[in-house]
Amino acid sequence: MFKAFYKRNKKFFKKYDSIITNNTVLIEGLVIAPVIVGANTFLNGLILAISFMVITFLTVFISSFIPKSIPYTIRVIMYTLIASLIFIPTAIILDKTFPEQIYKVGIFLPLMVTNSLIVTKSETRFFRESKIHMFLDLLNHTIGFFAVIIIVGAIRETLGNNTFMGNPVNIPFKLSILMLPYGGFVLVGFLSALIHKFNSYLKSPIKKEE
Amino acid sequence: MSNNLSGTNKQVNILFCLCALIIVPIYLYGIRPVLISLVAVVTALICDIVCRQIFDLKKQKMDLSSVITALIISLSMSASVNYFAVVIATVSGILIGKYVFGGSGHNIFNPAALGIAVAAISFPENVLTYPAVGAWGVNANLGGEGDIIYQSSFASILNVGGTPKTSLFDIALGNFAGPMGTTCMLVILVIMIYLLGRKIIPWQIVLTSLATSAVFAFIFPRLSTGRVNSVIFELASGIMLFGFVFLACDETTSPKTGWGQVFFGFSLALATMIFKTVGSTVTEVEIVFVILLVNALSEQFDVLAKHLTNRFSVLRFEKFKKGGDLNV
Amino acid sequence: MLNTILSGAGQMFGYALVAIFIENTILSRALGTSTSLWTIRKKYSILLFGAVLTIITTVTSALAYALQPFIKSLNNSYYVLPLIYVAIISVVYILMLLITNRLKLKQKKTIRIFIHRCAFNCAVLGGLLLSTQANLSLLGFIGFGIGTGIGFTLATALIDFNHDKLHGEHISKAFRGFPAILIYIGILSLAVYGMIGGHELPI
Repeated sequence: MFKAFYKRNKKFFKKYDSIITNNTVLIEGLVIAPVIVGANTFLNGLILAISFMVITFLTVFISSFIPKSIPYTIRVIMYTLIASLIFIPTAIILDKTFPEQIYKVGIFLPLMVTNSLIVTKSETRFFRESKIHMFLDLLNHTIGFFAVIIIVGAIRETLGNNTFMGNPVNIPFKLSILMLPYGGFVLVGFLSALIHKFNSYLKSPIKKEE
Repeated sequence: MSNNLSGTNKQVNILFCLCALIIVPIYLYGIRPVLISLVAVVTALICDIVCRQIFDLKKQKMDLSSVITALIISLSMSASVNYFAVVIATVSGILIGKYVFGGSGHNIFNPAALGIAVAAISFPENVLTYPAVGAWGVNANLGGEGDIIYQSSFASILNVGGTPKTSLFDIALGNFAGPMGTTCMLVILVIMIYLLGRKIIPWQIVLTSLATSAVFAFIFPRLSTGRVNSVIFELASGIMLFGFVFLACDETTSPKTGWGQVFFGFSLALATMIFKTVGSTVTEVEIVFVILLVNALSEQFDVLAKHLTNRFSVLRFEKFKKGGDLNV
Repeated sequence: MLNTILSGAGQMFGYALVAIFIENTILSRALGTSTSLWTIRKKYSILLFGAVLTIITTVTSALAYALQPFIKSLNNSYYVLPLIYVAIISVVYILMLLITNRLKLKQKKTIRIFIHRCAFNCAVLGGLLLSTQANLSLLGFIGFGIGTGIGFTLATALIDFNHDKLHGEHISKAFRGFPAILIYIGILSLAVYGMIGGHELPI
């Protein structure tokens, strides 16, 4: 039933594809590093998700006003410099909200400054759209990333460390290998396969009801 | 006339050899090795049935590879291992190592090596600590807890610069602490000669890796009682000999060409010996991590071999055989 | 004099080895994975891309070290570090483009594409941040920078070797391509971790 609904409203769903069917991380393969290595606890995932949303959103929005007459190289440099400036208040606010936590995400928080959406995707996709579409598209991309990173963080912390947000959780087994990059790669690989399977299901022809 | 056995025939032979290897640990540790192997095999079969559905591989022929994987994994475990660790190792190996990459005959990595690696990293205190031989006997506490006396294995002794004090006779019969099915050197050597004789495993891999590790252990001994002792103890430690015979020689994941197999065996043995000497964090089973890495390079070894034999035709292996096809 | 040079070279080599194996950009930190896959997908020369990346990482590392005294004098340098390093990378980016334009190179156009792609790659900024975090010496910075580039090249080559097998028809449709590649990299990451990198924390 959902498949029929999806096929009828394909145009509408295409606007929101970056959330699930063309998910930023799982299908497009962008910004993988923070998810796989950085997000081994729920809080780490949350901090990285919030910083990604804020930095990317504001940077791309502000950068959209930079005139295209400036050479490409200088434009890209300006985008990353703007991102680095936005990083400063973002990191300060996150540090105040989650004390002692931002050092646990290590280098992955500053690395949000040079993420693919700011450096590459802005030029190839976002700036070619109208401001309203760009706003919506950005929101979808960041929601897609947000969903994946907190799910991955939650799964890895619960099953790999038997805690959730630092509090112990009563689970009979512990798979500490999930806390390693290997665990991250395998988990994200399986989630990506799940979305691929979902996409195949949506694209498959509807079976005629008898 | 070709002496090559069919794929199924080879698998049956290897399975037979692995089952023979379970007999020694029964004598050393009681009934638990059999239970561990049963748990692994049942898990493997369930995995096979479920994965063939999930991965749409129902059309692929059923074979014995998962059972072989399960037995290799169980024989590499400690006799006091938790059943959960065995299940996780088997599921990881078969689901992730085999089915994700296309099922039997298409996997890039040796599923057993992956399973052992996952277990060793996830549960090191359980998988890599070994009970003293005969500490249980027939009155074994089958739950795995209770008063088990643990003993240092050769690998852990060598790692801290010590010298194991075990007689050659005990080494041959597996009468020392170590992985369940990989300590009985005599049985493994006999199996090795049998499998080589029937051309089930390639001599290029086995002999090259044995020779490389022996020479390395001879030149850089880690113990104080002589170089020959060094060779014996290094080969008897962890799952070295077992790994060379059963893990490295897996048909799907090892190179197909003769010289490719030589390079493979050489790299495998050299890297394993270097990491044992330099000191790794997983003392007993470094070989499985090296196997995973060289599995990824198998095809490149073959490419290198083809370049080599195209340039220097004198190196082609069929020159040493009477008749036989042009198969380097 | 010779002794100093040799010991210096040895130290640099040591840090390069750490960057290649223990802290491999792709296998241990997943940095630059999408760039790596892009290079393979577009069938570009991995060696050439790796060479361009290594030059960028090395030069930026040297410049980053030069600014360490200034960085250490700041309070809360954590917040301004990305800004300073992005500025350094920008300078190197522009310089490399200018130099490439001047030189007579066979693959000028491709190299220019590579420079655009490499400049603000996570691998470059990530390498700088790691070196800073570890408080390395000049030789450490440069060695780590060289190792980052070489490590990236080796990891990309490892992925490329089995690229056809990861996209083949025999793999289940849901896992074909990206999911299989991720799991493949994960297994390589486990192999490297088990062999050498067991001493390091995930971050």
